[in-house]
Amino acid sequence: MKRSDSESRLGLNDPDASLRAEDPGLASLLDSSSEVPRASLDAMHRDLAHSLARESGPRAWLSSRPTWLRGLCVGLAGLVVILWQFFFSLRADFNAYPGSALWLALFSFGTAFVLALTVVLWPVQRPALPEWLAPAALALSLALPIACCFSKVHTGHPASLVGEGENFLRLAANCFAYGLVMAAPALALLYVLDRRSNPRRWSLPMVASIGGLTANSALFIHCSSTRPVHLFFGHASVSIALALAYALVAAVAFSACRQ
Amino acid sequence: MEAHVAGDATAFAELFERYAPVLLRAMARQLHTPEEARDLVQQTFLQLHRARNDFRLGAKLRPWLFTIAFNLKREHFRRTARRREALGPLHADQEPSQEPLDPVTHDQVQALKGALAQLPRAHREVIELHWFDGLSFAEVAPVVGASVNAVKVRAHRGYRRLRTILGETESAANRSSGSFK
Repeated sequence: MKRSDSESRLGLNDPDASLRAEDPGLASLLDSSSEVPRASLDAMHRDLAHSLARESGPRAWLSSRPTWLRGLCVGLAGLVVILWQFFFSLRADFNAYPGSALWLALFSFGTAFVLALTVVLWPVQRPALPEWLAPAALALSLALPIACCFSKVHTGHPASLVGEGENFLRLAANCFAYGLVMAAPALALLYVLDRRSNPRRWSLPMVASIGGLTANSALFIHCSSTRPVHLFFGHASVSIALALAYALVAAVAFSACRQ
Repeated sequence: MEAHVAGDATAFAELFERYAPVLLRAMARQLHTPEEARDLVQQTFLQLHRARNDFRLGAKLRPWLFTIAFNLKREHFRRTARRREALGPLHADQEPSQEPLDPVTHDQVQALKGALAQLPRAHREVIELHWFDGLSFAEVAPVVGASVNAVKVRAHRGYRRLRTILGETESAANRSSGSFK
């Protein structure tokens, strides 16, 4: 409190005026130090011109769209995947499945999707987001599908027993593959809409988590199995596998940058 | 910038001509090599080009550019797992545009660089952006992701700390001339 009072007395409204009044020597030194040499920029301009000349084609056009439009495109892609399941590939036990649990799961996935998308598409010309937000969003988007596997709704609602016994591996693999296909549109869009030349820390696993959330939402509406072990190995594993694969690519890219 | 968004091919070259020197100067102060600084300035202009459709007509371009440059610099440090805490000497390949400083002033500039390097990063960034890169406090605020008042507080505390450090340096060297006060 004492410090704040002191600072306001010293003229926080104009720190420069305060500095010039109290220490004109330092103000003048700061002034003169700003007169640092100017570099030759010709070579840099030529390199930049080459880079700009390569900025053509559909991908360059798409990635230069406004951020809100890029976000909307990915969001719509996710929505189309979900609606497709509702209209053409709805789970067999839909009428028996508790509606509130279904909508709550989809709402949770959707919220995590929007959060992850915000982090991934956050424009570089805006002040950076807090560093903890990306790992937190990633953890949330991985934790939600896993938590869904062991929800009491499933253990208390054996509407479908598919995926039991001998069929376990085959059906889990089917769901896994179906999930990857459902994740593909969002992943492809995020690839073509990306503006960055180098991956950021967390950005690639975050992209994977968006695909994983889309896949899990689609599988939730599509697959009628309620066995936790099937849900884990057939559904949540899509998010985990994608995140691990993208993290591996990011690690290789970071390693190349360090060298 | 508005001309560039509208598709004027020469506008981007003019933007580069106007802002590249000041950006290069800012990056060169904080990076290990001139190549890194040049690469980041190029990346900044490339990102500016890609983000052109996000630009609000009538907005100020300089804070935009500096925010891009500072974000890219932070990402660069994370990728390379290195941080530049001390201010380096001017690079050999840079050509002076001003008359050389006299020896006393040169010593003072070196002392100032040493003192700036001892400031907390948040204070140092504000002072450098304001004094060396010519950004107003209102323009510095979005670059460092703080309010204008917070930026002023950082500047005020930075100045106070600078005076203390320079005073200590002066006492230690027991100089009778070239005093900062």
